[in-house]
Amino acid sequence: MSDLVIQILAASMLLATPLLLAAIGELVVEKSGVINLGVEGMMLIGGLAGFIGLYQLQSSTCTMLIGENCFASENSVNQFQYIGSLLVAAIVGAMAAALFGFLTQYFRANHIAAGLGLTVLGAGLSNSLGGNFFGVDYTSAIVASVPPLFPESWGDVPVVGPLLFSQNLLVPFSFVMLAAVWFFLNRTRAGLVVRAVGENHHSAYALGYPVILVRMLTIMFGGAMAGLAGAFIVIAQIAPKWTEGITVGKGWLALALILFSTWRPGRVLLGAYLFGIVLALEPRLKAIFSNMSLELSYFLTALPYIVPVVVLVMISRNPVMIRRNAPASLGQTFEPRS
Amino acid sequence: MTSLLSLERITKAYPGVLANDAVDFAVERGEIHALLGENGAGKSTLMKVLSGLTKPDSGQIVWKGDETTISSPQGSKALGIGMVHQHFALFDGMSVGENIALGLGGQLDDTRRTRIIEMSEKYGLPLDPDALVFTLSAGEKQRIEIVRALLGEPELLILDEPTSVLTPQEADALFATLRLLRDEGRGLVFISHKLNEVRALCERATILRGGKVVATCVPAEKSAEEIAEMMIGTRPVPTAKGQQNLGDVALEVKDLRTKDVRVPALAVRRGEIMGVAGVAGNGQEALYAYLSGEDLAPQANAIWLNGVEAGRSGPSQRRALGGAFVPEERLGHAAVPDFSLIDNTLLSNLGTDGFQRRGLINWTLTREHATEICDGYDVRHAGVTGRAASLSGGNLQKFIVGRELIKQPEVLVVNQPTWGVDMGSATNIRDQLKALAESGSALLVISQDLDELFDLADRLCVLNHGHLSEAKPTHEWTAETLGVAMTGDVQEQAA
Amino acid sequence: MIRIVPRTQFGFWATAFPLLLAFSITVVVGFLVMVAMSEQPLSDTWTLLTFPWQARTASVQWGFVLQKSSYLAIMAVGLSIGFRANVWNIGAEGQFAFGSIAAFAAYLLFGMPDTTWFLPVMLLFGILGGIAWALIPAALRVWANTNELLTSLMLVYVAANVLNYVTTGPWKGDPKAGQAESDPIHESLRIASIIERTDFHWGVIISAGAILVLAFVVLFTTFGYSLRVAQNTPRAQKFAGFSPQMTVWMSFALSGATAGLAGAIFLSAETGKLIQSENYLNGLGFTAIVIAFLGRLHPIGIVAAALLISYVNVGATYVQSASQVDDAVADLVQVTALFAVLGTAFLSQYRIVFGKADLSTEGAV
Repeated sequence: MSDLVIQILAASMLLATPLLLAAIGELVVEKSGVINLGVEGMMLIGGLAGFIGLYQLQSSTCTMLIGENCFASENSVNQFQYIGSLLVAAIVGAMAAALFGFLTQYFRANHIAAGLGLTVLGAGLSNSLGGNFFGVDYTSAIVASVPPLFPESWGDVPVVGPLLFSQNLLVPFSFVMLAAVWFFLNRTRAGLVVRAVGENHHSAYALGYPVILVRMLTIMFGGAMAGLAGAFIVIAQIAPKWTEGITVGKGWLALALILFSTWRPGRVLLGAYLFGIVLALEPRLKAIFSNMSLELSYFLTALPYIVPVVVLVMISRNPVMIRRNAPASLGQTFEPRS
Repeated sequence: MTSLLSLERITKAYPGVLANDAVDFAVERGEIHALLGENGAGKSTLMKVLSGLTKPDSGQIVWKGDETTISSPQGSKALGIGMVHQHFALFDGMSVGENIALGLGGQLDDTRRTRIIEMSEKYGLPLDPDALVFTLSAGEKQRIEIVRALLGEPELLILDEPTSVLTPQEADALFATLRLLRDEGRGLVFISHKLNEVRALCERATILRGGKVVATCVPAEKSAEEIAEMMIGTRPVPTAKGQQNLGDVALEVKDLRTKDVRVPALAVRRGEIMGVAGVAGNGQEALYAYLSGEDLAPQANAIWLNGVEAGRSGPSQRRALGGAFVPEERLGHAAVPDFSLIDNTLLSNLGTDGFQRRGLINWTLTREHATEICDGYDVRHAGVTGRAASLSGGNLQKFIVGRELIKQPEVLVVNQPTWGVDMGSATNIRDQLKALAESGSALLVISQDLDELFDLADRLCVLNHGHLSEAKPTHEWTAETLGVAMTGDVQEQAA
Repeated sequence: MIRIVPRTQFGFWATAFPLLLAFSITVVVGFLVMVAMSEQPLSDTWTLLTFPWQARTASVQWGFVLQKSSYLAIMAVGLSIGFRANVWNIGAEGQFAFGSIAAFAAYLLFGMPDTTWFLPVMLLFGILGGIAWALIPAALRVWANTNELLTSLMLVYVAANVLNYVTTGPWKGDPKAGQAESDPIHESLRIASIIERTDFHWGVIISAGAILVLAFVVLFTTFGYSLRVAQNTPRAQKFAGFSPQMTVWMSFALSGATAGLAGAIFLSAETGKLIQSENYLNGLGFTAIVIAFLGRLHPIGIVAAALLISYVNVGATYVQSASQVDDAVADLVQVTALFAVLGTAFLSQYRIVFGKADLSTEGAV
């Protein structure tokens, strides 16, 4: 039984990490007073970009070493190629976010509409490019799995093996980023400015802070993190594989996480792992109780979407907590007052 | 000796307005210099020039004898100019210390914390660095602004309408601080409407009217009336109180107890103006909300309009009972900024006869009515289809008050009738309010401006920490007793 | 130097100029997308623009366009009611699903009647189903102060699971079908085509009628006025005596009703049976959100946007079958149009002025 627990925990880490990455990014964005509903779209675009990057890096190295007759399936991927593809994902995610940023910050478009548009764009663009990007159909492209950080034999060590040593690079990275974002927001000068811009953009502007620039930067950071989250789902969560709409609503869960956390990094972590456990439990419970009723089975499938609603209801009952932590100018378009 | 700052022939034009017309203005070290003028006289533009928010079309800024340019707020700060704005540039969800650190461009650390405490003690501005701003009073918020400005070690400190939110006692404490700063050799610019304060505090005064400097004088040598005449051109006529023809009670509050306000008893008679004095943030908003029906009282019998229980009735029902309401905030509460004046006319007239029938709006009538309001109440506008936000504060306020007055309401509740309105419009609005009372309506005026209340009200009560005192005839109050009532211990008063 | 200054007067051009600009941007960018995705961009673009006349029967293609745009327009008009008042129902997809489910439930409940007279009852149940599902986020918002945007969205996934459940469980039809699906409804309950062999059916007319009613409500009644007041100024809404809670209830009820109606029409006109969500829900509820914004939340604009986008969509499908250009080109054109409209919308409140001066036009105040 304890094996199962460890298995579920390891799986939930795998499922929680993209939520955590995307939510960390969006947390900073929202702290600066912007709500970007395009997380799902940025994850799709970033994920595809990372996948294309990995495929290209791998096949170019392979062609260099072996020559023309290089079968992708025989390739291996090293850690540097993996990091390279992650960088591609982050940059492309940030670029997609920049589009949203230009629309909302410079052209004063409605945040909600532009964010939804970004989601549609992400879905449309990744679908069309995934099917054909410079002649390659990525829906059938095969890329080797990413090597774990530690020697594979370490994974056999009881408990800590599967939980710590078998994990992908982005798992520890997500923890580091979380700590970094907490430190940034609460302990640095720039973080104070970000919070100030989110709290009252008119006052921040009056004090001479570049509201629009700050928001552009946080938006692009959010995009980069969403891109990484997408790349994790595509490249690292199971095996590298691209399918249309591969994120299936994880971007929206990341947004729900922010509300769940009332804009506090610690609670983002808690929420991400809570959702991760729910997601990890579902197939396993179904496997164990193979004779469970159809109702229960579908209820379990829908659970990851019901839990956020229930949690949101419980959290929203406490308006004081939200008042203290919520950025007061969230979602408002900034127009400099003369 | 050269002046600390001197502005020479500053000119700034906006489309259709010459906001500053060759303005000369100089501040010496060790003086408090008053800048006086009506709204629209060009004070704000001059301040924007000094704070680097706008560039003059022509003219020179000379700082300690050297010609300079100020191209950004940071540049202004770097030069040694500190600003305390009328509308606080504060972050409500953050702590006092963080707010101050933001003003200085840095993180809050222990040295900063110590300096904040030192500074606030030295100048008599007590502050707790860890308090959250949204829990503070207006006076405390202003102290944050002042400390924030002082930590930048400014040689010139500009204060825009600093006393408008303070109690008389708080204002006195502020003046002590300002004199201390003056004696250290700094230059201070004091922008105010309150002529008596200027006469008591300032060494010199520069008076602007229509973008031009009309006079520079020593205010202590002039009477308030003389200064006012220079500001607005004509002498304001003191309006005499109308005869006391009081009818029966039209607005009554009986034992209203909520988390924001406590009103043991209040009764306003027809023909009477009841004033509610108090420092900002003592429950004015809440009192207005309960009286207008935007918030409902716990019991229906807590509020009576024209002899009918109205505590649980919404704004529309109260309007049907003869009530009319003017909230404090013009844009976003009393009017929708992006709506035309026609659309805004409908806002408080949905229940008025003829404006709608079975949910269908009569736009022709609404348009005619909007024109009538503008013509009848001297609203200067560029057409009734123009946005409300494009009107100046004074004109929009005349429109909003006019929209209610034209109905000849039996009960009118007004919150801050002339807040931030130029003197001409303010006088106009007050006269209209008095005329309404004389015609037999009951008025309740909530205001922070004591001069206004003394001018308007027949009786006065005081709102302090949400507690509304008993009403007394206005002439029985003095500035001192009012000040005590506005700041004193509520418990004591209740006993 | 270019400056942005607020408009003080709003004439015809204040509305027309941004739209024309957005349209031009969409045309240019759309063509560039075509250049990127197609080997013969010119001829493919020509095909995309003129496909009804390229196809064997133009009326069939027009039928596709009308049918698709009717679903989008009716849902978008419903959604725009809430969007006008800052009430964010983005779960129309789920309400659409519930409209279908409720219509089918009515069919079963009344013993599978075999008469066209039952059709209105089915549509009514569709509307009620959509409303019921939409009122969940409304209730959570009003009673528990919960962000309706996220709850309405999460409920889309829940509704999809409900659809999967009924098609695999209690209402499971032919087990040999390649997908989970219910038994079909009687042929007499299928909405008939107005023009033979096209998708131009009576459902389009019903939607058009519903749009007219809603447009009238939004544009000419006090309820419509109250939505405009609520848009950016919740306090003015209280001042006028409107109840913010009522706005939330009504917005969700109306948008749920339109989505439910669309779902019921879809069931009757397109599939005739419920199918598992992957093959039944095709994102109409999400596209409707885009359409609502494309039409600038105005009923006339929404209908125009729905027609245009549907035209491009159907055209893209046609081009895909004719010359192998991925039909995602339609999505990209759609997003381009949305971003162009959003990005130029501020021009109806502001003017661009060339010349030297600073940002403020108000005099010294």
